[in-house]
Amino acid sequence: MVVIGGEGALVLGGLAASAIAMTMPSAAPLVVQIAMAVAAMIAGAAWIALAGGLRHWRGVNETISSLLLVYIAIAVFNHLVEGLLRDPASLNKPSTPNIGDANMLGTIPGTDIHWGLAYGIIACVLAYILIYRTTFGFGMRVAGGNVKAARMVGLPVGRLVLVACGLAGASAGLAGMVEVAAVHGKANASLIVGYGYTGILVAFLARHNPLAIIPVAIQLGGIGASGGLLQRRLGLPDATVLVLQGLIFIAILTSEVLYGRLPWLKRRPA
Amino acid sequence: MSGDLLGWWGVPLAVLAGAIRVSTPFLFVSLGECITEKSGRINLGLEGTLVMGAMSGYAVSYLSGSPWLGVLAAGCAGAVFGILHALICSLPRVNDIAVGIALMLFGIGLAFFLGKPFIQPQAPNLPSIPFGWWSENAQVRDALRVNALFIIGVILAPFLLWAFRNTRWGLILRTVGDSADAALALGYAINRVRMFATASGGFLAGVGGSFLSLSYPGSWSEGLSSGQGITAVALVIFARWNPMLCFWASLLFGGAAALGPALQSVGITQGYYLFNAAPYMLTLLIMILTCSRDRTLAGAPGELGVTR
Repeated sequence: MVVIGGEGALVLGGLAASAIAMTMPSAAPLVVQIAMAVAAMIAGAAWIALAGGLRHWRGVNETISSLLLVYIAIAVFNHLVEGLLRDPASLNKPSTPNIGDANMLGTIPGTDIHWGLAYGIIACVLAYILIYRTTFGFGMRVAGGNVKAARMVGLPVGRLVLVACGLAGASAGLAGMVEVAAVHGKANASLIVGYGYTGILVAFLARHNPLAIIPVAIQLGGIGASGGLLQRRLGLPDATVLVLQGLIFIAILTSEVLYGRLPWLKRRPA
Repeated sequence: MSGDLLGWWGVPLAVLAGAIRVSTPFLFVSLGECITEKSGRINLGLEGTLVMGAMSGYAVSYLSGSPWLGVLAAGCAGAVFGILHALICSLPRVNDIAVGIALMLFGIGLAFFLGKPFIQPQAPNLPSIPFGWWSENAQVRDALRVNALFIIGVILAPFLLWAFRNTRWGLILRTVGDSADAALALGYAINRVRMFATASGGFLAGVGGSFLSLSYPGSWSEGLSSGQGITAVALVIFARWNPMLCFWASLLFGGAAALGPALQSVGITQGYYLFNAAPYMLTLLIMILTCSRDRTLAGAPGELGVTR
């Protein structure tokens, strides 16, 4: 399945995180952070599981439904940020209230890097273990390779699809929470910058191997961050980064042809 | 001020006007995607093609002073993207949906990259034909100013339906889309047919994009397209790969998209953003209602990845 709705899960995850932080102003920072992470993951999981469920029960193509859900998620986000959850103090750029400095994720001691990176690495390792070292992951790979074969051997394909989508959405939602809790401190339009789409590129570049995602994600984060530098030093527009990402994506997909033709490029058994 | 006297009747009128105005890009993109999907391939990159078409159409119209030249340029840019998609997909083991997503990112990026100098200047727009000359009412007249491109689209839809059913080209296209093996046995070059179909689909999507920048809203900016390309792809499925149904579906979507601004103009601002999402919700709802897990959709090309 190709789901391209990560952006929607990320946006809603960020919103859920800041909303839950609003409701508990006096709790201890650790409790608030855990609540934010859980809320973001539930919101993201529900959103993508919706696309998975539609696929399973109604046969709706998940690529298209998840993309439509992105636009709906952004509309819901704007509606709530403009209305119910708006911080009255944010005049020009509607935002939710600040989550409070104490509740922010700090930086890893000795570096400028925030703890979100640790969240990401743990998620990658967990995903790797889940996919390659558990019965559930094996079932998931069978269902992904051939649905008919999976049904034939009695795998609960529907449940596998739903859980896989839920987990995918949960990690996208967690990304939203990290963005809110470590970078912005509140949910506003700066959350909607296309990380969800870059994430698809990362997954394809990493050849769908969770461990490979770590270096690839750092690499692409670097390309993203270099956008500002390109703008200042070379006078290139910020869209340069988008063009570069598109080119990388096309090149990677096209290189699929070379499998089996070059001696060192062998397809790994799934 | 007879326009204000309409009051609540202004809402359906604005929805109608919006349906005609907003639906044109939907119409062109979905007709283009219809041709592409009939050949058995799905091009999700039309969103990128649309934005690229909007940019190149606007740029050429600004530089040459002729909006129709801009439309042509937009179509050609779209065709180039279509050929690119077709070329990459004709390689073995390449997933057309993934290539589409890649081209969507690439097209949007390239359009933003090349389009920076054209954000400020005002290019000549496409002419509109006033069909509301009989009315005294300013709002009615405004609503019935129909753009020439829309009329081309209205003619194109039944023509495509006829061409699919009654011409040699249409038959070849449908054969390739329904069973590549049968087409191969008959001696047709599958990849060449698909390349042609994807290129013409890209051309139409590019023209749809030029409508965005040259007629309504009528200028080039980076927030120009908000998923029209993708919605149009979903719309083709909803329209059962029938060009005429694509036309009616586009009108429905245009109307849904115009609902939010129309309600806002009579003073209902509550839930403005939610009304903005109405076309997407409508698409999703219709897809939920019309799809089924047990059977493939009637009229679906057999080679198409989405329905398998």
